[in-house]
Amino acid sequence: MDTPQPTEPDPGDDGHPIPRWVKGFIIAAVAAVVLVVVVLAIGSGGHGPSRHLPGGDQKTTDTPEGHTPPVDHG
Amino acid sequence: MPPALRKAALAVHLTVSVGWIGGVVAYLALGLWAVNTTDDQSIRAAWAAMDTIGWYAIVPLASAALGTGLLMALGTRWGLFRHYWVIISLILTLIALVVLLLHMPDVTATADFAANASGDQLAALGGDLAHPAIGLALLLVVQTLNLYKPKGLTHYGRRRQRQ
Repeated sequence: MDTPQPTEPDPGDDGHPIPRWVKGFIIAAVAAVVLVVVVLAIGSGGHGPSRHLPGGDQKTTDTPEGHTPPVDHG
Repeated sequence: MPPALRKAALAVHLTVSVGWIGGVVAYLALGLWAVNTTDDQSIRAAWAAMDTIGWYAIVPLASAALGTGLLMALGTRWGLFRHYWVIISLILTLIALVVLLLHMPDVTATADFAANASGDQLAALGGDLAHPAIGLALLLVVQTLNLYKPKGLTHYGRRRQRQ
């Protein structure tokens, strides 16, 4: 019976198809993605710097001419 | 890949990859500056510099890092799909590059707006901290993976090893 063996055993293999560090990494990555989604869902939805521009998170290159003049700081 | 070419490709890959991290750190510093300063000119300057660094340093370095990384993987014994660390590095690099390319037009729009805004409009812009901070964390994970190269062959890698 042909049972080919790797010439150099893989220490990360441990007889499992996927190494433990990869499983841990995937769990951490999924948790991070869920956290980001929850934070975005709880927030207003806008997250980029353009959320502060007139028109919210929409892409705009409008200049402030024509907008309300800035508040006088006195 | 011949050893001399492999070394040259590795040198370029290391240079652009570390340069990418450096560019993001500089961008993050400018973002912090934009958040903390109250001077209009400083906020305008910070956004203009973030726009310039983003398009002329970070994007080219990120693209070069991906390109040379693919070259190193495909041209050496590591391969692209044989080791889990290579696959994870590739996925994280792709995520970072795609988010960067989607995010940069926002930065340009904000820099254009900041160039002509003043007072409360400028103060409301704040900085850009989340994207560079998360991006930097991703890049540090990739760097750590590439440095330690944790063991773990994929099914494809095991099959290739037996051949």
